[in-house]
Amino acid sequence: METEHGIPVGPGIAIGPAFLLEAEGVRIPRHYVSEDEIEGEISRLDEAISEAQDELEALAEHVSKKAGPKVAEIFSAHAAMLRDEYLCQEFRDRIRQKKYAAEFAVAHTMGQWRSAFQEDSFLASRAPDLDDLERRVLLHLLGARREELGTLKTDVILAAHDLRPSQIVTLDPDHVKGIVMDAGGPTGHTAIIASALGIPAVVGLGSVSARLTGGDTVIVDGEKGLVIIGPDEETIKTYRQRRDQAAKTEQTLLAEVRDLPAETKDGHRVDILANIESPREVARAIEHGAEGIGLYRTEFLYLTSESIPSEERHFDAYMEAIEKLDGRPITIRTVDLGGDKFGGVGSPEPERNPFLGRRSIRYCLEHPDLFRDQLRAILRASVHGNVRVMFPMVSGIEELLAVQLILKELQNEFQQAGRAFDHKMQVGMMVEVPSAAVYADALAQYVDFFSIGTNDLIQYTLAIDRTNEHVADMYQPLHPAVLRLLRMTIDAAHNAGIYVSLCGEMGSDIMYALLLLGLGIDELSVAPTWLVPEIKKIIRNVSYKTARDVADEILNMSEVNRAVARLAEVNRDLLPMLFR
Amino acid sequence: MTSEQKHSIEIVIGNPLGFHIRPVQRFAAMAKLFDSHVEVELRGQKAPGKSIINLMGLAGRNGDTMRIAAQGPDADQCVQVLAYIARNDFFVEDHLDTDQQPNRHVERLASLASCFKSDITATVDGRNVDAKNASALMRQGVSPHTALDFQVLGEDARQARAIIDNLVSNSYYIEEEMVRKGKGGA
Repeated sequence: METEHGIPVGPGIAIGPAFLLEAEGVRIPRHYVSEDEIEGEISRLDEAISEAQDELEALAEHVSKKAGPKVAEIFSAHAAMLRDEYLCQEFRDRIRQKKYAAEFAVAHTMGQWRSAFQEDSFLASRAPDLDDLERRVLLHLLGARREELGTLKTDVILAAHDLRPSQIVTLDPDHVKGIVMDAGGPTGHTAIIASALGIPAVVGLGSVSARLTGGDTVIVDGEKGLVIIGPDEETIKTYRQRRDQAAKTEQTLLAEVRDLPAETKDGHRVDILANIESPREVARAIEHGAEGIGLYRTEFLYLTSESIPSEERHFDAYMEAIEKLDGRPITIRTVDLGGDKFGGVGSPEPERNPFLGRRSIRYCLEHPDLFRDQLRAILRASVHGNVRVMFPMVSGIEELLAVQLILKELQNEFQQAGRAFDHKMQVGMMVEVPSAAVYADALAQYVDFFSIGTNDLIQYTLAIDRTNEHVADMYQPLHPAVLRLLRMTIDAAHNAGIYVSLCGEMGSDIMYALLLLGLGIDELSVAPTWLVPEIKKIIRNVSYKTARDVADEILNMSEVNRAVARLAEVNRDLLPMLFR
Repeated sequence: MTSEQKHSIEIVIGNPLGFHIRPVQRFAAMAKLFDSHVEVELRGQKAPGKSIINLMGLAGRNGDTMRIAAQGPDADQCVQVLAYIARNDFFVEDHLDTDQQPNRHVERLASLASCFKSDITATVDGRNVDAKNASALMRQGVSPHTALDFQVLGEDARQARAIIDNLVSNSYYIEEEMVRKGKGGA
């Protein structure tokens, strides 16, 4: 029994057999072979290498004709690497001397070369070539035996060095019961999705994938950030009890409030919606009692595509979500790329200060064609459901008018072409730049709703990057300046007769639910969705009047520490069942 | 050519990108054409000269000194050829400047031929020219686009032919590039 410590990013506990993903998504069925299987492994290896070589040479020729010999060079270089007898000998030695299965011999050898390359700044840029090569040989080795992450038939704990956004978005929560990962941090893609799907996950484990063999029993403790490899009977028993107990508590709460509105004792209602990254999350959100989707982060369409998503691709995704929502509202946020969200297609050149650079709506205005594709898809989808659109990162009226002009032009285009769209589709903007919060009263004249993005609003207001460990503890949602901006935004919206949603993480932390209610928020969009019942329960157990008094009191405090302490105290007093 | 020989030579890497994947690929491909065992030493680290992955692992930068050593029946020719290509940017910049320097290819052909003991004769339009003599080849109007036949006679004929074939077949690449750009075609 071995225990590893990492960063918990997905809640709960999972117990199951490890499913190892290596070389970007290829699973290695087993690691060792017996003495009499060695020669068979060697011929399998030789055959796979020769197939991979043929494939690479054919590819090089094809690409050379289509795109020129310069582009094809990389494939001929890969083919040449597979003709490297020294490299092939390293594979064979591992099979003969260490009884590695052919797949493991290849993965292990290439893994060692990759580490060596990564250590050297000059060679690091070639490491992806080794990944490609490894993956290609492994795919030939596995042939029909290849097991895909997308077509799992049994429950597993997914173990990987790292996961690409496209892999995480497509994984099947019915079979992936837990995730353990060498790489990753608290704000990465895996964290967001695992948490959204309610999959227990621990990341930042360093080298767990190397220590695991496929089939090993693993316990993932997503509360404490522990991974237990090869647990003894007693440990398994203890964890089973904890898991079942937690599931029971959750089920009870869910059964109690799922179909009820988040309405205070004195009849004030807040709509509770959910944030999603992909339409696949809609069903889960509804199951947990979400009344719609308050934030669809469409940039995940970019992050998970090999190419820039077309209008059709956008449309298909929206339609998938709309069909599952059955008339419930969905707020589609136009792509919010840039800052920390790049890495997929369409990445612009690096900027010195990406969070203050061409991110989000600024990027869209620079690439109006991509933006129009998305807006057309939204307009087309608008007749099929309760669709709202919102623009992220708006910092001033000029920007807002510029995007609205593009939308208006497209609506005219649809009108003239006789194409159907919802003329009354609500158009809103996110309030996440302090400038927008400060003159929210002016901006409110131009939109149908606001949605407050607390993550960016806090980061920009306090000048704190919370992924920077040196200053992370100064990221304070209860900072008086932040609270005043929230109040200004909400009051400005209500004075202009529009509603305000809040889709940042602050809205998903049960600590703040009472306060946000008291500030007058009309809608909370929550992630992960399993928090929906808890938030509903809080709102149903207090009165709006009390919440307003609490908000006024907290707003009047000039010190963060006192505000934090006071809010914790009020939470405990009013809601002892949730805040012990 | 039966005796075991040992030869080595030091060169300075003169490629702005260093001993990167293409230079390494070219170097290893050439080394493989010889029977001798080849070893490259860089900053005290040694790697087999016929292995792309091991050579890449040396992480040779522009300006690094590299020792090329060969042991075997054709060690002398091997070291000369490898040192020549290493000193000439590993021949990887061809596509960039053959337009400006059409004679470069001919100089390379003659220089590589000169690394061997065999007599190497090129036939151009029915006339025979000593392939080790660059100016004679140029006088016959040989360019990267000229169709050439070679006669190779001598003890290291096999290796000499392999090296020349390698050079010539790699210059198809140049031709294709030029034809594609509409500039070439003999």
